[in-house]
Amino acid sequence: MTQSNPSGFNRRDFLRAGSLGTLGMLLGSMDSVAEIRAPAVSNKDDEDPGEPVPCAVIGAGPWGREILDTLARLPGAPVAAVCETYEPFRRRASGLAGDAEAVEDYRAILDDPEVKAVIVATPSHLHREIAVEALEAGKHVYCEAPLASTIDDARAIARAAREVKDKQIFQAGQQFRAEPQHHHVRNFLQAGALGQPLFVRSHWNKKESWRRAAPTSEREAEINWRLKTDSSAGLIGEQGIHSLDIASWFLNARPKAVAGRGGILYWNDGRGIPDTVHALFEYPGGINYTFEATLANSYQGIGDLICGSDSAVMIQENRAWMFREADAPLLGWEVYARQEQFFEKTGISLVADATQLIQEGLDPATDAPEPEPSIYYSLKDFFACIRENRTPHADFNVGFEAVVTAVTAHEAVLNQSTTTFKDEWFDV
Amino acid sequence: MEPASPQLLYRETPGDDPGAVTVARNAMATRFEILLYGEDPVRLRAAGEEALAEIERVEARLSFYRPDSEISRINRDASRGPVRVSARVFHLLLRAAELSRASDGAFDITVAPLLRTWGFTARQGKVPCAADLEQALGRVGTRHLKFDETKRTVAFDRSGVEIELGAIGKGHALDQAVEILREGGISSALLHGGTSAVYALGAPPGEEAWKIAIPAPSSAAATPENTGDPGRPRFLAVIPLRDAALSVSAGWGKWFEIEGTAYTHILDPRTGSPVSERRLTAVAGPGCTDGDALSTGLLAGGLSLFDRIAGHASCRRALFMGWPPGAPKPTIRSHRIEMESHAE
Repeated sequence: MTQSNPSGFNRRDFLRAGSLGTLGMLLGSMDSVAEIRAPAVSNKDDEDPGEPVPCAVIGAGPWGREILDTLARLPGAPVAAVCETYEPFRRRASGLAGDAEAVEDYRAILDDPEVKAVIVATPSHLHREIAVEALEAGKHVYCEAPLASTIDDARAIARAAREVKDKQIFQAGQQFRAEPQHHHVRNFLQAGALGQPLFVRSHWNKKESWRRAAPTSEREAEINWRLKTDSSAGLIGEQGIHSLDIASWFLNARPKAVAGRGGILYWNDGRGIPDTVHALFEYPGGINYTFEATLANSYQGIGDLICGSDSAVMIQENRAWMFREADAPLLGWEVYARQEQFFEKTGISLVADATQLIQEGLDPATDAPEPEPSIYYSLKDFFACIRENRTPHADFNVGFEAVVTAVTAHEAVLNQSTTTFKDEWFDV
Repeated sequence: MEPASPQLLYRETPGDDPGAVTVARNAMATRFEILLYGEDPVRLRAAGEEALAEIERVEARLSFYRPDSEISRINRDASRGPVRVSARVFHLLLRAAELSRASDGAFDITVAPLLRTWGFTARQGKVPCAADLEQALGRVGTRHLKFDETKRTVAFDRSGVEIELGAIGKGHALDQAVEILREGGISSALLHGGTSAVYALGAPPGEEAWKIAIPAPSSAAATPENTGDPGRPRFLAVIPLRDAALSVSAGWGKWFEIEGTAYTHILDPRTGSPVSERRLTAVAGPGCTDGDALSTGLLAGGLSLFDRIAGHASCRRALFMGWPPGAPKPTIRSHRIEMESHAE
């Protein structure tokens, strides 16, 4: 668990002093890998968040149902209605949302003055009409990522959001933007823990067809929108968008160019969308970002790696580890580490915000509050923004820029080409 | 110690069929497998994958080990006050509490502190001291769960209470997966989780029902009956299933011995102690969640609970086999399960 501390520093004293500003103070050998844990997130405010904001969920497929489950646990966000055009999904959803009314036409929700906020979780290519009309109807809108499967549609949504930004909240579904773990990792990076940033790498690997079944051929055609080029932004747009967005956020930059490659290597079942893709993004300063995804092998699953001259940071789901070079300056918090083995590297798991835990008489190595799923934090932030009238982390700009990045990359994959981004493409 | 997960159920029919699609995924520390029949293999695979994805989502909600699951949140916070839970988890917990009452407390989702005290969670049996046992017993029992149906919250009435859905998690995941398959238009499929819980959707082509076999315990279980060809499992019973579930629980695979006393890993939550006889139970009925709970309850509660379990609305067939230490033959009770001749 905790390492011995040959410098003689008292753990507690060190933590009090501990910050990235105290680099190099500690003597003695350190292992080279550290887990970075999210700051202690208090759930104390959860039970009394303030004025309830009645909301509605539009689109109740598997993800819409996850959202309903999350809202059921989130105080102050009563679900007044749920909308779904497909009857079996609608029936299922109504069981998840308490007394919520289940409707077939989303306009019934937009006409309902009781509903203050809507969460749009329909297929991506159907977001535009719903999100724009909801904003025009005066609702606060949480629109799942990607905002849309085309740049035009995403721009229309972002413009509608900009139009009402002083009185209504618009949040894009890039849920990691509201997650404490990712904020915490970003703070480390911003403080220079990487040394010279070198490159970023993300992978999204699964073994599944991405196809879905339905009792009728009409429904099957409808539900398999992700496999068709005219309705889908592909693996990069539908899944990669989260990683792409994190890369731009962490690097604090927009990509300059993207080269795409990919094809249908395994699921040759009449689909138009590649099942295996690679995209190489060029960022300012010579930093490259590689995104790769496949539906034919699940090795390593989903994860991101950010590499610098002093350390590499690996993110998997809601956990992160830092792998330090032997010659990197000490950051100070390694002493609180829990060790884990990654092939030939010894990992040290770290607890962020340990000072607060120690003040509460807890041991940072074992007592750190564990996180909720990222969608929980994202929805929680949305409702907090509504109550406090503040701009969400993932506002319309963030949502739109991610679509520009992802859709351009998806098209580069389809065309096996390289595209140079123009600054004005990112203008809403 | 024997392997933790012996194969508990076999598919008797049909044989390997090129028209069938099989999909599988590891979840809940076991392997889930779905065999689907139909006309279009692409569609069958798609439906199977969706069902497996639902199983993974169930695991994410219910896992005792994942810190971001709803169950972990409850275990962390519910002794300090009510915890809001999703509708799905709330209804499952209510159902579990109901099934606990139905089995006179022999099935219990709060048994974790006892399992830990006996070293079962660390897979290293030990006899606890009286004080530890008393403390653990004080934390076990669904009476310590306080439900608020209006607010959909769960609270513990004391600290140290824990919910662990291991006994019914697989069954619940299978029930959810079956719904997804039905929704996708699938009419013939067989699903199982770690071979201990199975659901038969419809029947295989040209058959009346899926036939599922319960194999006799392996020779390591030291049953005098099991003297057949070691290469082929001998079946205790073959059960036809159509739109029905079968759950099997067994306590022959794990046991330990301390100072001359043999203990099984079958723990009766009511007494707080492991039972001394090895047992095997099976319950067939309309759903896997209830089947898992009832067969677990029968395993822990033993023969005296048989009539109560067999008479439950969610039980269509039931089997109890017990091997009391030193007895020449097993005790067998069956409700609408026909035993193969050699099993008697």
